[in-house]
Amino acid sequence: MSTAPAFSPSAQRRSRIILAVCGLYVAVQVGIIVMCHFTSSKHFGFWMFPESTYLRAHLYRVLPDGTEVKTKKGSWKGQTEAGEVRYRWNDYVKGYRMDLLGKKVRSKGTFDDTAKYFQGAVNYVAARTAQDKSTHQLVLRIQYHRAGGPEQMLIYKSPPRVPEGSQHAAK
Amino acid sequence: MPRSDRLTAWTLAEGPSVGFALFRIVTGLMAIRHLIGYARDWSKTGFYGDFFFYPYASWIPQPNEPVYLAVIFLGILSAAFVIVGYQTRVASITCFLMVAYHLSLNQIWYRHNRYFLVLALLLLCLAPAHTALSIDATRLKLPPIGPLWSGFLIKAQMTLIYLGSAISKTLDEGWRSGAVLTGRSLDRMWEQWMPGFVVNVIPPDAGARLLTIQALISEFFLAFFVWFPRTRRFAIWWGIIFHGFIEVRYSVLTFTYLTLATYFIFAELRSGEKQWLYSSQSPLHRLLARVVPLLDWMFQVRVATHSGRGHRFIARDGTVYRGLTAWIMLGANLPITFTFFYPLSWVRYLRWGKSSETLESAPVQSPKFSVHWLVGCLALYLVFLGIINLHAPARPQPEMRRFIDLPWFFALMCLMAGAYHRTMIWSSSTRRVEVREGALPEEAPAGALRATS
Repeated sequence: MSTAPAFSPSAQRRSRIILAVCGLYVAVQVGIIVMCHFTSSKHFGFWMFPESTYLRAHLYRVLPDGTEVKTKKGSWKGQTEAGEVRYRWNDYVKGYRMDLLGKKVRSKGTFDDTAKYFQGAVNYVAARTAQDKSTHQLVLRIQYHRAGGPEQMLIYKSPPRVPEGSQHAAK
Repeated sequence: MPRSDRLTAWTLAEGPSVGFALFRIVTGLMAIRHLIGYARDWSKTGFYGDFFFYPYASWIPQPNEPVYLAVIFLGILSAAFVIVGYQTRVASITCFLMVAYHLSLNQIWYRHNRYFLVLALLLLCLAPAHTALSIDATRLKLPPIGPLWSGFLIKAQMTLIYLGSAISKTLDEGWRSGAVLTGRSLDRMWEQWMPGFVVNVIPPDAGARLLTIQALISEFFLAFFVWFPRTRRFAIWWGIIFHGFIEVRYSVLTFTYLTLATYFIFAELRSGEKQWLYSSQSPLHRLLARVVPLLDWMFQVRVATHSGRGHRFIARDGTVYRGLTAWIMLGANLPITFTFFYPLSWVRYLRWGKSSETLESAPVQSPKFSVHWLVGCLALYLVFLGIINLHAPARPQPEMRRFIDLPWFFALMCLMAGAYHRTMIWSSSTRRVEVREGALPEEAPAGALRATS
C-alpha cells in the first residue's frame, strides 16, 4: 500500500532551496570564524576586543646622504623645485589612530592589521610627497607591546625615492 | 512523521512575524546611525579617497565623491523606508547593497559591529519583516505572519558571534590571563567602583581576571541559553546587562542594539498573550492604560478594565497576579522596564500576590496613533541628525554622540507601538477570554472579559 506524500513537489522543492540556503549560510560563517584562527587578520571572524596592544609610532626621513632625521610628529620641511614646502603626515593619513604620531595609543582591532595599514600609509605618504627632493625615504618606527608581552619595535620603510643603482640608493 | 517530512515542515513553517518587524526597525535605525557617521567624517575631513585608505580588492570599483555621497544618501533613505516599512523588500535590499558596498571600499573601516550590520541587513532581506508593523502590511492588508526559517538564520548568526568571540578569547593566552582586559583599564575600573573592603579581598589585577572569566562565561552562556524557553528570559536579561555595560564602557556603535534586536527573534513573540486589568475607579490606572500600549513594543499586553478595586496582571499561563506582584509582572513584560523588573518577577514562584477572585472585565482599545506621527518623527530625527553631524557648530562631543539619539529611539518606538498596538492586539475584534487556573487562555464568543483563577 502506498501513502500519499505529505508535501507537494513544489513545497518539497522550496524546502530543499531553503535548506540549502540555511546550510550554506551557516557553513560560510563557521568557515570564516574557523579560518580566522589561522590568519593574522581577524576581519569577519568576530574576535571581539581581540587584544590590548599599545603602540607609539614615529616618522623619520632618510636624507639623500643616508642620515635618518626624526620628524616633528610627522611634520617636516621638504625641498621641492618650487622651494621649501611643509609636509604633514596628517594631511594624508586620517583615523584609526594612525594620525596620532608620537602619542602612545591603544591599537584598534588587531595590531597586525594596524601594522599592515601603517606600511600602506608610509608608502602612500612617500608617493604623495615625491616632489620633496630632500627626502630619500620615509621610515616609520613603531614601538609596541602586546598585553602582557615585552616592548618590541617594528620598522616600515617606504620604497627608496631615487631609482636603484644611483649613487644615493646604494646607501 | 518521517525525519525528512519533519525537516520539510520546519522549512515551510509559518508563524508570527512581529519579532522580525522589530528586528527590521532596529536594523534600519542602526543603518542610519552607521551611515550618518561617514557623512559626518566627510563634512569634517573631506572625501575619504583624498586620503590614505586600504581597499579590499582592486576589482571593487572606487567611487568619486558625488557617487560616494549618493551611496550614503541612498543608504540612509532606504533605511528610513525600512523603519516605517514602506516598499520594505526593495528598501531592505537597497540598504543592504549600499551599506555592504560602502564597507567594502576600505579595510580600515572594518569593525565587527559594522560587519554584523551588513549581515543583519542581508538576513532582513530574507525575512518576512514587512508583514507586521509596516505601511506595507497596512496597505496590502497582510496578516502578521510569515515563514520562520530566516529566524533560525538570525539566531544562528547571533550564536556564532558569541561562540566565535568566546572561543577566540578562551584560546588566547593574553585573554585567559586577564592581561587584555587589564590593558583596557578594567583593573582601574575595579579599583574605582568597588568598595574598599572588596578591593582589599580581591585586588584590581584579580578583579580584572574575575571580569575576564565572567565575560567568557557570559558569551558561552548567551550562545546557547537564549534558545531554550526555560532559560530564555534570564539569558535575555543577562544579555541586556552584559551588552549594556560594554556599550557604556566602550561604545560599540551598533553592536549592542543589533544584538538586542535579535532577542526579539529569540523571544518568539505572539501578540496579546498577557492581560493587564485596571480599575476604572483609579485615575492613575486610567492614565497608565493609555501609556502602557505605547510602551508595549512587543505587543504582549492586552488592556482591559474592571469596575472593582486594584489591578490584575494575567500571565500567559492564565495565572492572575494582583497588587505589587501585578505591577512587577507588568514592568517585567514591557521592554523598557524589563531590565529592572525581571529579577523581581521571580516572586511569581512564591504564593504572594496571586489572586483567586473572579472579575468581570471589559476589553479596552489601545490609543491609536496615525502612522504619520511615526513618519513625521523619523523625518525630524533625520533632520536632527543632519544638523548635529553636518553643521560644525552643532556637533556634540564624541562621548555624547552615542547617547544623543536614544530619546529619538524611545519616541520612535512609542509612536510605532501607538500606530500598531490596536491592530496587533485587537485585529481579531473584541474577544471574550475565559482564564482558568493552570489553563491556557481560551477563546470564547465576543463579550466581556472574565478572569478567574
